[in-house]
Order: sequence, then structure tokens, then C-alpha cells
Amino acid sequence: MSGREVSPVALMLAVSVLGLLVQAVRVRGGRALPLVRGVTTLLIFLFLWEVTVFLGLVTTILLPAPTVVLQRLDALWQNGYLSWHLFSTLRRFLLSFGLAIGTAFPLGVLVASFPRLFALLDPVITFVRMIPSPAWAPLAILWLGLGDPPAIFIVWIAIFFPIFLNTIRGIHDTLPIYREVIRTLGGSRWDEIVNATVPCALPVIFTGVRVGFGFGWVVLAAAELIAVDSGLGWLIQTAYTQVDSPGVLAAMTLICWLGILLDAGLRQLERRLIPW
Amino acid sequence: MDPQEIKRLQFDKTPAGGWTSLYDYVYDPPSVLSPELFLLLIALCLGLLWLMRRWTSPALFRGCLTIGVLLVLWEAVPTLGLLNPIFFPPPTTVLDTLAVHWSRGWLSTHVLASFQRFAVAFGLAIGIGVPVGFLLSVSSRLWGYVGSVLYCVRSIPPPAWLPIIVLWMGAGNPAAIFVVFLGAFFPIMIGTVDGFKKVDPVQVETIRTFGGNRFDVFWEVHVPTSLPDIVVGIRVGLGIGWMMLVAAELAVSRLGTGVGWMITHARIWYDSAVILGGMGIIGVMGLLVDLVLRRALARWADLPRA
Repeated sequence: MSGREVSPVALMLAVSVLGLLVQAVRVRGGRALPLVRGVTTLLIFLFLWEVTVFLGLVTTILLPAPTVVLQRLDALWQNGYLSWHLFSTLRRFLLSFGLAIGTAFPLGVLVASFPRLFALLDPVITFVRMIPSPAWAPLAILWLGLGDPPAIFIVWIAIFFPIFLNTIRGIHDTLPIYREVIRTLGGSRWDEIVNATVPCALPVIFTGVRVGFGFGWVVLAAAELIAVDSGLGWLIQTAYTQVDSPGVLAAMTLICWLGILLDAGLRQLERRLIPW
Repeated sequence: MDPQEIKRLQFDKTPAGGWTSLYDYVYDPPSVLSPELFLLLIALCLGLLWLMRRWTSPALFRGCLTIGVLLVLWEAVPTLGLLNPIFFPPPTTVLDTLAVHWSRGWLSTHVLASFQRFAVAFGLAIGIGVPVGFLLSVSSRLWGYVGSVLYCVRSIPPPAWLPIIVLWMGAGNPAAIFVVFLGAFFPIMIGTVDGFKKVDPVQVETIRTFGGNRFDVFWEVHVPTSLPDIVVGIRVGLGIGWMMLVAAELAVSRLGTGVGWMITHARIWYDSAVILGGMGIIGVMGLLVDLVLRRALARWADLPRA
């Protein structure tokens, strides 16, 4: 970069990448090779991108250099904009996610416990599930206005159904033999639930949580393009209307980081909660 | 009907209705289906099903009863004024509005446009995703190199791509198709990679002992083993691609056609009947596409693994 001071964002990036590489090679030795290869490819890709722009092979209005994008990220961070929008997006996503788990899990347990209820509700659920979540956006905006509420509603619907259906399936698919074993060993109904149904159903439920997470993340990005007044998606849209491609790419990079972070967090959670 | 003609009709003085603009009818819809007629129809259908209960499964009747009760509730609440009918129109208004749109040919335009976009994008996703997945599964070194770049690109949700794609390609069909392609491509590619990685060496040896060359090994072992995973990837890609189609049509208002565009455009005019009807149509379209795909792929999804 030019002779000005090093941008904090670039510094953070470089330190984290180097630290990752060093850690990987130190801890895993030869098995870290795929990680090293992957990071190397990424760096080569970024380098080629920079060179392409440097040589003037593309219109910089449409495709700015990575260094320009990083500078923009740095400027946004120093303005204070970035933290507010990042916080907005994170808050919306975690709120919808929590709401979805908090509603889908109990409802799923309830419906699974009463099979006739499930048979009654099945046609309705199937039909409502078939409507893709972004299609709820105009209705949500009509009813709830612009801002947080419609975005949370749309993302909630996206995350709700996979978790709900997987909870029902997980509980139904618990092999009766496990419950019989607990019964034979003298367990009560409560023991049966805790020691047989829950361990059997949790992996399936967690698959639903993971699928819901993926859907919710995708739908959050869509909702933030049209329904909100703050957040990373809003940042992309605003930068787009000003033909500000460094801004667009900067916000996209942030969404990518956030997604990777949250995904890693979810995988860690899964590993802790379900060791089997 | 092309968008130009739609524009012209918006300000057409229609002799039949006397409207001066397309959305005058929001305030005075031609009401063919009255609430009483609607309730009568529901009662008739349920009565018929109850009479036929000996020949159909009991679950069918119970399911239709639930749907019937919900429809009656939906009709009653706005008509009785409990909720504002402008924001929550009863099914009679929704059906009337849809009938008007259908008679003018707008519905078929939008539905066909959406289907076309999805077909092109999904076809591209399968046509590029499966070969790329196969190539990536061949060597794990290549996967090590390319995998992380793909993971990063995959972590960016396709709607976030939309503004930059529109900047590059303009706000029209190519941008929407590209975003849908992005959405459907990654699950299909990953499914293919997963499928081709599961190879049973015993089967390979068997084919080899029977004198098969590399092509025979590929055709007899690799393809059948990988097809179930590929089919799973295709189904996931279908779901996400369909979501992305609606999202792209919602965000790019310059498209002018497409069901997603139709419901966004209706929101500006507070035309919630079109919104609800459009949502129902999108749901039915998704159901149809999923059914068609499942029937087409059922042959391969049930193959035994290894």
C-alpha cells in the first residue's frame, strides 16, 4: 500500500491469517497441509485480483482492487458505521434464531406427542412450508412496516420450519427398542424421555437447526436488501445505489466473515452438545 | 402479453369496468364470489367428502376439515371487520382479484417468466455443478486447494451478490438467473463431490476382475454409488434456488415480470389480495416443481449404495 499508515483492518487480517497458519502447522504438522493449501490459494487469488486491477484490465468502477476494499472497510470502521450495522445484522439474526428455536422446539415436541394433532395440521403445514420465505416479505412489510420487525418475521419463518419438522421426525423416529430397554431397566416415563428419546432425537433436531441456520442466513441477506433501514445488507444496497462498488464488496466481505464465524460457532456448539 | 402492453392497459379506459387505471379496482372489485357463495362451496365440498368417507381414508377428511375451518375463519375475520380487509383480504377478494388478473393474461405472463428464469438457472446449475463436482472429487489435492476459496464464496449468501451482479450485468434477466444459479450451484456441486468420494474398492476390484476398463469402472461403480447424493444435492439446490428466484424478483424491480415482481409491485399499491394470491401461486409452483423433480429423479435415488 502507499506510504500512509497501515490500516488496522489489514493488520488484523494479516495477523489472523499468519496466526492461523502458524497454529495449524505447529499443532497438526503434516495434517495441516490442506489448510495451508487452502489459505495459499486464497492469497494467490487475492494477489491475482490486485494485479488485474493494477494492470488496468478491468473497469475499476465495477471491480475495485482488494486494497481499496480494505481501505473502505477501514474507513467504515473508523466512522463507527460498521459496528452499528454489524451489530444490527447480528442482533436480527440471533433474535430470529432464538425465537425460531424457542417456538419450533416446544411446538414440535407438542405435535409429536399427539399424533392426531399432527395428522390434522399436516396439510396446512405442508402448504405454508411450500411458500419460500422471501415471498412473505411484501406481506410482512405491509403489516409491520420497514425496519427490524419484518426482517425478524421473514427470517423466523425460514428457520422455524426445518427445526419444527425435524423435531417431530426426531421424536417419532426414536426406535421403540431404546424406550423398551429403559423401561426394562426400571426407568420411569421421565427417565425414558431423558435417556432414550432425547439422545436419539437430538442429532436429527440439530440437523434441522443447521439447515434452518443456513436458510435463515440466506433469507436475512435478502430481507436486508429490501425491508430494513440498517445492517450489512442495507449497507450493500445503499452502496449499490451510489455505484460505490468498494462499499458493496466491503459489506459482502463482512457478511462472508460473519457467516463463517457463526457457522464455526454452530459447529462447536453441536460438538459440545452432541458428543455422540 | 409484453410489458409494454401491460403499461398501456394500466391507463386504458375499459368499457366493461369503467376503470381509468389498473388499480381502481382495488376500491371496487368486480365481486363474482360473495362470502355466502364461498361458504356454501366449502360446505358442499366437506359434505361430499363426508358422504364418501367409506371410500377414502379418514385422514383425508380430517385434513380437509382443518383446511375448511381455517378458510371459514379467514373469510369471517376480515368480512366481519375484526381485521382491516385492506391489509388482510378474505379469500373471496383474493380469488376475485386473481380471476381478474388471469382473464387479462397477466398471471400467465408472470408465472411463465418465473418458470423460464428458474429453468435456465437450474439447468445451468446442474449442467455445470455436476461436472465440476466430479472434477473436484477426483483428486483430494485439488479439493484442498480450491475448497477454501469455494467455502468463502459459498459463505456469501446469494442475495448479497445481487447488487454487485446487477452493477456488472444490468438489472434484468441475466442478473436474476445468475443469482438463482449461485444459489443452486453449491449444494449440487457439494452433493456431487460427496457422492463421487464414496467408492467401494470391492466393487471396483470386482469390475476389474471381470475385465472392465476405466470407463466400465466409472459407469458401473462410480455413477450408481454417487447418484443418491447427487439427487439429494439437487433437491437442496432446488429449494434454495427457488428461494433465490423469489428474492431476486423482489429486489430487482426493473424486471417487470415474474411472480416475485408481481407481489412486490402490488405492495406499493397496498394490493394485499394480489400479494396473498401471489404467495399462494408461488407455493403451488414450488410444489409442482418439487413433485416433477422427485418423479424424474426417483429412479436414481433408490439405488443401493455400495
